[in-house]
Amino acid sequence: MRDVVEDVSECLLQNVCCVLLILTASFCLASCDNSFQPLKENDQYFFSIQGYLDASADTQWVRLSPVREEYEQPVRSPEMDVTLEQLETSTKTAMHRLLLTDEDGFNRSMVWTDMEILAGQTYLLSVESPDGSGSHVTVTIPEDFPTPVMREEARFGRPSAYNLLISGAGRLADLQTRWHVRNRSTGADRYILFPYRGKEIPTSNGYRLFLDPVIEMNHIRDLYSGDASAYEVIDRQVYVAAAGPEWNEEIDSLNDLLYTLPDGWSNIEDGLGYMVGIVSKSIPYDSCLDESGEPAPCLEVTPFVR
Amino acid sequence: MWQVPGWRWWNDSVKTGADIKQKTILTIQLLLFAACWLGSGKEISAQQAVLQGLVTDHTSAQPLYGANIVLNPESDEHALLGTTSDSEGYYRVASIQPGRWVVQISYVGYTSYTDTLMIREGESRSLNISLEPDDAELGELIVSGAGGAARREDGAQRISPVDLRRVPGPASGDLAAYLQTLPGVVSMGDRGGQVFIRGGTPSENMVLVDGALIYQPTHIVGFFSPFPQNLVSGVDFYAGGFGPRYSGRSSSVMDIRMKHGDLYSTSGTAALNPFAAEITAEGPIRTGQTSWIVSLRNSLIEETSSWYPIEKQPLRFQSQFAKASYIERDSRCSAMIMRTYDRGRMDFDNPESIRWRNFLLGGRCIALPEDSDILLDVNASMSHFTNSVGDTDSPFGFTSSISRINTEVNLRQYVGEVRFQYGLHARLKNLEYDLGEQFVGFDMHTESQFNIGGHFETGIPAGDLLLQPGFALSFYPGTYGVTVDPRFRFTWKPFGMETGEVTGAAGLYRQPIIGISDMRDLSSVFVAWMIGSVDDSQMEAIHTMIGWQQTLTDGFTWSVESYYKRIRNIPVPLWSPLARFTTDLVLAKGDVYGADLRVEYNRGRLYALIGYGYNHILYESVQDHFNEWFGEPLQEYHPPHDRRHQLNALFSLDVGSFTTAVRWQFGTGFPYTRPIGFDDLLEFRDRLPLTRSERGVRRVILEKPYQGRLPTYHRLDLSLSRSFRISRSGSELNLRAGAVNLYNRANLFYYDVYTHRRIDQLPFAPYLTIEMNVQ
Repeated sequence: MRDVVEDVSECLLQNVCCVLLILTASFCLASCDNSFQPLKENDQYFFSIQGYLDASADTQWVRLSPVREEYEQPVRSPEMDVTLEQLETSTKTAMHRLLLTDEDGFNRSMVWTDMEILAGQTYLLSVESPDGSGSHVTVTIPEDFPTPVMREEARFGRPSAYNLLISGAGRLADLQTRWHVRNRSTGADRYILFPYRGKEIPTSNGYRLFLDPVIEMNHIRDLYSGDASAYEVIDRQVYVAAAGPEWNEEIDSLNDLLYTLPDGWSNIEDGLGYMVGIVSKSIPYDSCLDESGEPAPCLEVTPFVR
Repeated sequence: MWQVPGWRWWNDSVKTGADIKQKTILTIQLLLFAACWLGSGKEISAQQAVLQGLVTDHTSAQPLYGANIVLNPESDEHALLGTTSDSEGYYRVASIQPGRWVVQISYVGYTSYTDTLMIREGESRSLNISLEPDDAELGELIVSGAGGAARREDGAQRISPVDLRRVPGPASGDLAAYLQTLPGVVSMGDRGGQVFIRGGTPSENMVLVDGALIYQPTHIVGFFSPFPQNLVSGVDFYAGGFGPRYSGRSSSVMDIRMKHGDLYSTSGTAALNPFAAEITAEGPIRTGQTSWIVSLRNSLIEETSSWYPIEKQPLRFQSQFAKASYIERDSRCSAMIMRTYDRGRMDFDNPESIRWRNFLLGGRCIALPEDSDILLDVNASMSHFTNSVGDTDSPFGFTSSISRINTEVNLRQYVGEVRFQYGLHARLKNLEYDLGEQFVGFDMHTESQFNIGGHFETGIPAGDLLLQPGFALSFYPGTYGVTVDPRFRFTWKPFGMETGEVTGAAGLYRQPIIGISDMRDLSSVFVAWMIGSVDDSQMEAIHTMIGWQQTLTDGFTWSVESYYKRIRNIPVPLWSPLARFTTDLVLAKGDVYGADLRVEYNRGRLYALIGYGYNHILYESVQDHFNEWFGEPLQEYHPPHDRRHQLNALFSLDVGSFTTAVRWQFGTGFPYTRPIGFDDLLEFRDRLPLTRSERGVRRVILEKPYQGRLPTYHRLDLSLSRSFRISRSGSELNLRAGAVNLYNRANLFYYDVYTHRRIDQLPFAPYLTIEMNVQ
């Protein structure tokens, strides 16, 4: 029996040596290839499209770039054909490419068009790269809604507050006050935004939002280290945007992970990002009265940031 | 909490005070039973004579592992008896019939000891022998049957300084370089010095230096460690399945014994190469009784890297070691101090540096008194480790430190043919960390842990079988309570074969403190030591392994060993597609299986070792993120140290006065998580973004964790050495010329998937080492 065991083990060893030789040869051959492709081949997400079409704006700006292989931003505007088509009329226009660069070198790949965007219409944004891969998204512009009304709420011994009354806007995509302040010593302009979406109270025909400019002014003063004399308020506005049916009502409750996941809430076909259609209203952060002294819509103004 | 089937009683028993009491009583009963059995040992073995002792080197008192002890009867009535000494130099020959016996103790390179003893009935005699080195014999070509990379004795691979010297490299032999030639040992390469053993992470390895734990046992340049061959007396390396003497780590054990200084003459060695300079000196304090040895090592690569056509290597390491020894015929005691310092940048373009320091202070005595049959090993030690990551110009970063005081007594005793190993220990640890926000929920903390415990293992011969059941017992007041880790090992020589042996082990291995690294990035060397992790569970592993080893002809040995490890409560980072450096931690389960195959030839002037390792590591983690990400909360993945195949070949050949050493290493690529692409994510959650002016958050689109593999690794190292005798006293000049990465393979060390920046390991790097030994 002992001989048998020794024979078996010897035979096993011979086989092991053969296996080792074969493995060595295989590994040598396999190891000749030193190429390394760190990224997984991307055949799912071709472009990142983010932004909105605003029926109230003269020019439409959309952040659009190929899903890139580098962490850093592109240094030149990528090659791509971008078109915007109004589906009801089949009117199609090519969007212009532009690479915007910050003072500190941060690049953004944008596309823009001055095509008129009409409320209640549907648009198809398509982008295609020279290699034929492409992404697209369809957005519907909501119906127009009346200019919101600011109703002043006088308070004893304190500056007035306001009630913002919004009617006819179905899905609120944005609700904010915007302040334009200037540093008195440097002359630098600064735009400070106070988002209020989700704080509005539904009413029978829309929404109501209480706005207290004192709270906002205190925040602004804090930004200047509590020195109210360090800046001056140049302007202030209220901005309201209603969105089309692509608007995700759950968006403000998404956690970081869900928000970041490529498929979590994106509406881009074969791509990443999010795009909606909106109608927006910018009005002065003040109240207006009609001839009978009743609160009335102020005249709309051009938003000072977009 | 996951539990081992069959060990539920032990786990559940820590839950209530009544259970603790019941278990404590039972444990005391077990210990008392064992003590009674041991106490009656002399009576049981009254009819048998036993010879035991320690075999050491006469000049330095190093234990001689593998010395041959042969008892030759003067009459023909009795058969020849024999054994070999273990890594402590201990030997034991039992079942000696009364009468006159010629005892011969021999070891390669030493003058043999021969004596005639009159052995009386029932006698238990101690014979401690120190052998004199014999220069004439050293020149002969004699093969030692002990040790070798393909053999395991008592579950351990015995690594000798000779093994270390065979590996080509700028150092004249180093433990870190040698370990990388072994299958089952996965190294990160030239930088960082991280060693993963059979699926275990570096913080799961126990490395002991004369009994003192060292937390980071390698230098930042991967083939250097604080353990050069001229300081190491021997290493017992257990890749898994180790006995209950070693408790507190769940993966592997390296028990390093450092050299004693020369007891009779003063000598020194100085070595210089482009990577490091080192000086070692030793000598007697009181001739023949006390000695000292001192070693200093300092890296030079930071300065000399400008000589090579490579970018400057911002890597620095130092180590200092000193040891004083007191030697008597039946005991050896020593005190040692060790300090190491490492500093460097894994990513050369990143100003952030990693630094770590080890400080060890310890004392150890090993004794086999002439009138006793107990081998006594007592040690007390203090270990301190600190590591930090940060930019030298910035106050921000993370630090973690741990201090450990350990005292232990280990005893070995035979009752008849049955061997008993048992002991007690007391340990106190103090841990501090300041992690900033790297791991969410673990920012800054100081904590302490005290435990007392013991171990018990028997070696029961049963025919061709040696069965070694045992357990490690620990008590952690206020945290884990009483824990018992059962362990079992065996060896079997089938059908009385002298040349072949089946070995096996199984056991439970708990780890009361954990070292957390950011495993999303394998180049992350920083380790945060802490007690417990996410839910205060102890990390634990079940090891099972079985192997076969055989010597076919003189010097030709082969072995194969397969293993399976089931690891629980592994802290792993929470996965997120957000490109950020902070992460939460969750627990994972791990299953590791694989096999090591070694073929070794060691005869005459040629030494060859070929090792192949197959390793399969699979982690399983349940994370809410996974559910949202992939639609399933449970995901399986291969962690970043899952090197599936390894092949190492080491050859050493003596031709005349030249020694050539060649090593080729091959390893398949490590897993990593592949990005699909990047974009800048605008924020819609609070309000509509300003598309023209806002930058957005840079987003990385990731596939499932660790689906990609880095390129394969392979490298050829070569060295050619020659010694010149420069004085009659024995002083020598050794020159060694060689090259790292002879065929200039671009082996990837680090790839920044964000910037597509690639950092490779060392390219072709020739070197010349000048070493002077002064006697």
